[in-house]
Amino acid sequence: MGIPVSDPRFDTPVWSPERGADNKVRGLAVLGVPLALWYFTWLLHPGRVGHPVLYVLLVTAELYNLVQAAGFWWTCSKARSRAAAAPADPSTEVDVFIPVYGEEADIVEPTVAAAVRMRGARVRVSLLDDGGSDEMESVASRHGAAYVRRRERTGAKAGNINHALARTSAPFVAVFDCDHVPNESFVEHTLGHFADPKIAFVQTPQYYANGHAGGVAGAAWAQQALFFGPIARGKDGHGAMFCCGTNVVYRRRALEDAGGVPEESLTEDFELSIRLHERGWETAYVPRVLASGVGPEDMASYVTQQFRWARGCLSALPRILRSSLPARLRLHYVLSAMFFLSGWTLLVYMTMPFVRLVWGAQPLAGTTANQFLAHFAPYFAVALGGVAVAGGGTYTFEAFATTSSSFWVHIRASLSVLLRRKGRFVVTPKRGTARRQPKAVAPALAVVAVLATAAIWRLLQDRGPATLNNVAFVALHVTVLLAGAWPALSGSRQGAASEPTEREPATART
Amino acid sequence: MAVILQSVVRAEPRPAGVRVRLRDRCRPPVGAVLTTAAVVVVASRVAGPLWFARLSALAALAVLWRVGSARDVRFRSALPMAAPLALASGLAALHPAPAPLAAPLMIGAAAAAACVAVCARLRDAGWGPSAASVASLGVGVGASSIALPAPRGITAAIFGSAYAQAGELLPHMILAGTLSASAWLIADRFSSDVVWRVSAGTLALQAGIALSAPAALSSVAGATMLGSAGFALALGAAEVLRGGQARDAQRRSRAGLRSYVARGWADPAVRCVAGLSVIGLGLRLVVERGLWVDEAISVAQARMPFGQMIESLRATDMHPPLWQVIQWVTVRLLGFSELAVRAPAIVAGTLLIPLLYVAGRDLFERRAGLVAATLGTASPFIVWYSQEARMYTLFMLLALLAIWMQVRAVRHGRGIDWTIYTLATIALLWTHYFAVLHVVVQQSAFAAVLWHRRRDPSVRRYALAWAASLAAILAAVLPLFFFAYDQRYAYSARVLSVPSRGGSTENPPVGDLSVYSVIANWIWAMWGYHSKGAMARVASLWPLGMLFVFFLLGRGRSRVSSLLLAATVLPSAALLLAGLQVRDLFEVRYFAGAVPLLLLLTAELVTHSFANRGASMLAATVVVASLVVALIDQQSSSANPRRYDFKGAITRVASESRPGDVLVYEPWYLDSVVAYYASGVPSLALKDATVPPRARARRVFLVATPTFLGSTGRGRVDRALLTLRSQRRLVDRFDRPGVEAWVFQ
Repeated sequence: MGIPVSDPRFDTPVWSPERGADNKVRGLAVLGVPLALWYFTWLLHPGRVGHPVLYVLLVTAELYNLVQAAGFWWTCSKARSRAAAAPADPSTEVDVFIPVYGEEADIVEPTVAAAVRMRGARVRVSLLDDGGSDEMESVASRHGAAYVRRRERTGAKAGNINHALARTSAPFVAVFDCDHVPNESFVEHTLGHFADPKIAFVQTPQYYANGHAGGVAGAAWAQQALFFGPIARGKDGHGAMFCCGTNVVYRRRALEDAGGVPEESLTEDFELSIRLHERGWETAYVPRVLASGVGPEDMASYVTQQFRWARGCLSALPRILRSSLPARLRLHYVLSAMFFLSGWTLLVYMTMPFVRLVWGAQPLAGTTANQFLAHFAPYFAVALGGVAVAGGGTYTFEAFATTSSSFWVHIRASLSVLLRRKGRFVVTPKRGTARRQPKAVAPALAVVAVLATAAIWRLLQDRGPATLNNVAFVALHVTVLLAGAWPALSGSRQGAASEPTEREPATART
Repeated sequence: MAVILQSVVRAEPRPAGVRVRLRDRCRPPVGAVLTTAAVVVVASRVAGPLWFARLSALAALAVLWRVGSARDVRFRSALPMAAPLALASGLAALHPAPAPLAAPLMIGAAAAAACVAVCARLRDAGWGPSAASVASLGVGVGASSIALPAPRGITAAIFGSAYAQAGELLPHMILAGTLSASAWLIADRFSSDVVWRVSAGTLALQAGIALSAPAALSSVAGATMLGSAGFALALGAAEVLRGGQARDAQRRSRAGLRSYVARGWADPAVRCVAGLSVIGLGLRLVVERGLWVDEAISVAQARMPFGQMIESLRATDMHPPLWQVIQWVTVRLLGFSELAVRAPAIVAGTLLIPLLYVAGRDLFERRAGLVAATLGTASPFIVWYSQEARMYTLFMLLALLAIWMQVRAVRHGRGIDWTIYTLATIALLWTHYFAVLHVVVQQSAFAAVLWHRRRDPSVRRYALAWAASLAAILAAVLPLFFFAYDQRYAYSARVLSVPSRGGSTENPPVGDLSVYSVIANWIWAMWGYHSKGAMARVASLWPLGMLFVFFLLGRGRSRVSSLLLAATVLPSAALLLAGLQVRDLFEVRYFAGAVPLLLLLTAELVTHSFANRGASMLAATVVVASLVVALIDQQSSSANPRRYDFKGAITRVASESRPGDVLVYEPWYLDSVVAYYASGVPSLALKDATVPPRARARRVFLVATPTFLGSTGRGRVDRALLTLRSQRRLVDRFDRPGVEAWVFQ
């Protein structure tokens, strides 16, 4: 089967994880601390309490965001760019695993073809097919890769990898999701870092080659770029980089020390990283695009992916808190996992103008909008500016809007974790659909309808400055939600459609 | 200058195709020089300084006319004598000045001679006449400009109290040298009809100014300085534009120009901008409101003789003199009608439209230019200040021109761009003192570019060009320090001062400096002035600002847009900080230069932020529509707190008044407005007098503007009303926007 000429994974990456301005971010972080204090000392003054319940909700949301912002500043303040390591011995053996489960052959084949061409070591590629596809077998044979098919498909991706681990012996193991086409120099750029015997794995960015086409993939990529840019580099600076499941090289001894890839976990990469860090292993992040994949191209795929990540990371919170990790590492894991609670804060913020318009209650009292702005605006500007500067402009309004319009995913995931529901996991489709997907954004649309109705209803009765102020807040939320929902409503995705594939629990993030 | 004339009139036409170099020495016409010097000395003694000045101005005009028509490089033979002749001229004017004065004058003359020599060397070395022009301008105009407005205390300290006014003569003398250098440039370099016509026109203007000047020699020197500065600048610009082409090449370029214009007109965008400009002019001409206090003060100053006006500005004003000089010339050409006194502002405000287009097209792309021009056409703020006889539209025009040229200079490094940038920046600083905030941003950007290019092979050329530009700016602006110092000194010495424009503190929700006042100022900058209620409602929509900030995420920012953003935000931020000390300083018109940049950024944002062109058009339409609605409200709403109908109130008083009636007004600085609209009515300020008794006034019209009345003024009005009510009968009372009036029989 030929490789599609238009496949964006073969384009030269147009992003560098090091494009953010580290010193500017540090400067903003330094500025952010006093501004945060300025705002919160004002906000937490007892005289500000308006409606007690609303006030508590607002303060909780604001404190959550402060923790996230401070964590972001702290992480980015130690952003690290590892120097290139000395080349490893070319005779070093590396097993390359490409787990697949029902993906299309034209997605998988470029990955296999690129993997077998990797230089710098004796590479042995294995296509780990949990889908039992004969077509995959022929793909593997066409490119000289080993084909591994399991009889008992337990443990999803983790189980698939562990099964392959038992049948291979190279001291290093590279793992690629089936849509991530590795660069020929992948091994050359990563293997040298294992000269440090404490390094358990070397992670590289999960680059979405289709992110520059805009739409959902663009928004998803903007979020990835922020993570694999300043955040991942910061985590590496703190020695806290965790494994992301693909585009990674493991030391086999470290995997064996951790008992293999955890199969019982919802987020095996996250859980594996915790185990390795608990055992004293160290991790490394190479901020260089060495493999190109594709991100979710439609809203349903995006929501699927986000739900899996949210649920997996939130369910890991108790494990993190119970772990024997050093405080610094534990804090990093907590911050990463807690990110998936941010949907709750958006719900709180959207609730405020609604309640004010309908019932007239508001969280703050004994103050004016002028005072609020004087305290809030500088903190807000610096916090947002930090994100913009750290991401080097890659974090976009579309990304923000897409995150906002899927706020309900975080809520659903956290409720699911709290209620200990057993989830059904769906692999992120590698190709999106061109159809409209209103269901994927239905909760956001419902919120839009409620907010807009409340605003119109209040405007019919009163058009004073106070009402207009809250209507403006509604307009803010409605605009952001609709902007995020627009790709799902317009169905503007290009390319062939494919339906999500049902899969058993405990798959990895892809 | 008369001496120079003597040398020029002997010149013979230059043979076609012959280029005579400066090093081809010619014998200076010593006899003519000495004769003319003697004539000047006698003339100055007999006719007095005024006639001496007038003769000098006429001589300058004749010189340039002769140079232009003869196109003869032999004129340069006067060059080596220029400085000594200037010295002789100065001594003649000073006569019978004692000997100690001669020494510093000699130094000045030597400086001028050195300048000329350097010019010549540079020219021969192939550095181009532009360097000579700049040097000539820098030394001649700069030095003379320093001397002109230098505080007399400094002059007295240098020369002794008996010679405190010596500085007034210095520019006259140095300018003789400057003019001769400039004339040499004409003769040697230019033979274009266009250039000499421009030169002659400039000198005619100078002569006109000088001939209208009062007896004070300082005025003549000032007029000479301004005329010469304009002249020298025109030379420099023309030289760069011409680029050393031969005459036949010039003819080709003229044909090319015609072709260029024809091609340009064929471009729909150009026609569209022309249409927008016509519409914009129409909008600016539709002005209902009469003159406001500041405008009336400007008109009153423009009525003065030139020198007296400059002195008045120095003693009573807080602005640089360029705008007022333009106003001074305008009223002499067009008269004193409302439209006439507002004409420069209207012209500048209209020119902003095509300038926004070309700048937007050049800095970004054509669509951005078109949107920017459309925004400029309907911008309520620009329209408002186009209809006010003050300097703010010129401020905006020059700020935009300067930053556009800065970007071009950095991008292309061409002399024409550096020259226009330098001239625009100088003019900007001579227009408004707060323009220095824009210049600081610009110069910081230059420094940043230098740092960025520090390893680039072209950095030396860039650094030299920047240094020359900065030196020229500093030289040309140096006099402003002295001028501003005098103004500041006079201001602090005044017991009473005219407060800032009243409306600035009246628009809600502004009171003390606050976040809302920041929001209000930016609303004014974008959407103009509106009633208190409208402002409160619009300001309450601040959460949409958060949406806007979110929207900017990931939009990318070019270096150009970063520069524009910095030049938009930083001046206002600096004034905000200053406003924490002096509240009135944070006021949108003081950073008016940011407004066209804001419009450019807006245009860039709406044209480049959407992948879909339809969405981009929709966004542009929404923004333009919002401006149109705001413009209509601003121009028509009687609740606009910036609207003061002095014209309505005072002309009614003037029309109803009869002999024996008296107009009393409060506050006192309404005097200029009263003088403009009711010059025939006897009037007095409450501050200066009590209410006239029945015996001295048949009827009393009391006019007050509540906005400006502090507690003292309000108390004066209340007391006057009490007195009038006790002595007379209230027969009429009427209000106009911002003005109250009572009529007592």
